[in-house]
Amino acid sequence: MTLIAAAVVSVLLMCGSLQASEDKNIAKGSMLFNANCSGCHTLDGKPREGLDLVIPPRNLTKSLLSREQMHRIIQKGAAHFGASKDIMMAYENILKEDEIGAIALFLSEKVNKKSFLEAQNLYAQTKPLEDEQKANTVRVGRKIYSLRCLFCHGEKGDGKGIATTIPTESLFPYNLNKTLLTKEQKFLVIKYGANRWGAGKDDMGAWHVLYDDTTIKLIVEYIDQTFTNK
Amino acid sequence: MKKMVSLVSILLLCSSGWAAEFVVEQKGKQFSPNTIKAKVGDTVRFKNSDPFAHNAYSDDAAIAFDIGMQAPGDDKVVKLKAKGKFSVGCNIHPAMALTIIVE
Repeated sequence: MTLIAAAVVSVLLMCGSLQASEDKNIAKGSMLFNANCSGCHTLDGKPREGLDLVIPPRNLTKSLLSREQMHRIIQKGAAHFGASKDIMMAYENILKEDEIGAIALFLSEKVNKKSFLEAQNLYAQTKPLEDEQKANTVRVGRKIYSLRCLFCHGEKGDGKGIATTIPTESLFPYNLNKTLLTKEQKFLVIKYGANRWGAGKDDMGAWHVLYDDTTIKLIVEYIDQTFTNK
Repeated sequence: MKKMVSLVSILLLCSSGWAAEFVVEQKGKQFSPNTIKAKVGDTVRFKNSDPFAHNAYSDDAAIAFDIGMQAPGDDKVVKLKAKGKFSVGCNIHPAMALTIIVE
């Protein structure tokens, strides 16, 4: 009995210690975020106003990214993962690994937790594709991609479609070969548009006005098979 | 006098078959106006007044068209060849919607 009580107390103490350590790390992340990111983002994760940038900073409170994904973007910069403008720079030569980790922890716990969970919940409400439906991927996915996505994302999915050239610096589509978005996240971006998830520009519109969930999932399958995981 | 009558007749003939042209502006990622009522044979001129590319298409079989990419300032004309109520969209901006009613 005494042994069990001691074990319970030890576990509780460990949990408390872990929580205290995480809280400390979040506080460190908050401080580092304020010191390194506040030029573009306010401390609560919103875009700083009044900046003369081609693409306004993201509203991080609306982000659907996981902690790990944010870690990688802070580390490598957004262009490494397909952004066509190199505005969110790489911090791997500026901050240490644990410092980047602390910022990502701060963001995931204090800034975008609600939208991250909301995104997961929205996707969980959709029906998975049946195998028979997946068989239509190439036919349906390629057709819709050619009609609606090609102008911006281009034939190779590299974000260099014809619409980006007339004029240049007017549209900024992602390179789908480099994106770190999961299938689920791609679905949510196509369905609700990028602005819903914090993009500074609203060029990537919400396609649910034209397509149902199944069709959007087929487009995602096509993009994944053809570009992201080719 | 005969010449005058002929001229009036020709003018009347012309005016009875006169096709109207509707100008639809693409501005602020919207079609303006967003509904038009036209007649068979009328034309719609799509004018891109935004600083980025646009497009206009209709998947409705009776008037199916796709004007391709439009640079800022470009305008393109589509002839309405059939009666019906048609939806027009933009391949780049899914929220853009125009309804054309052809009588």
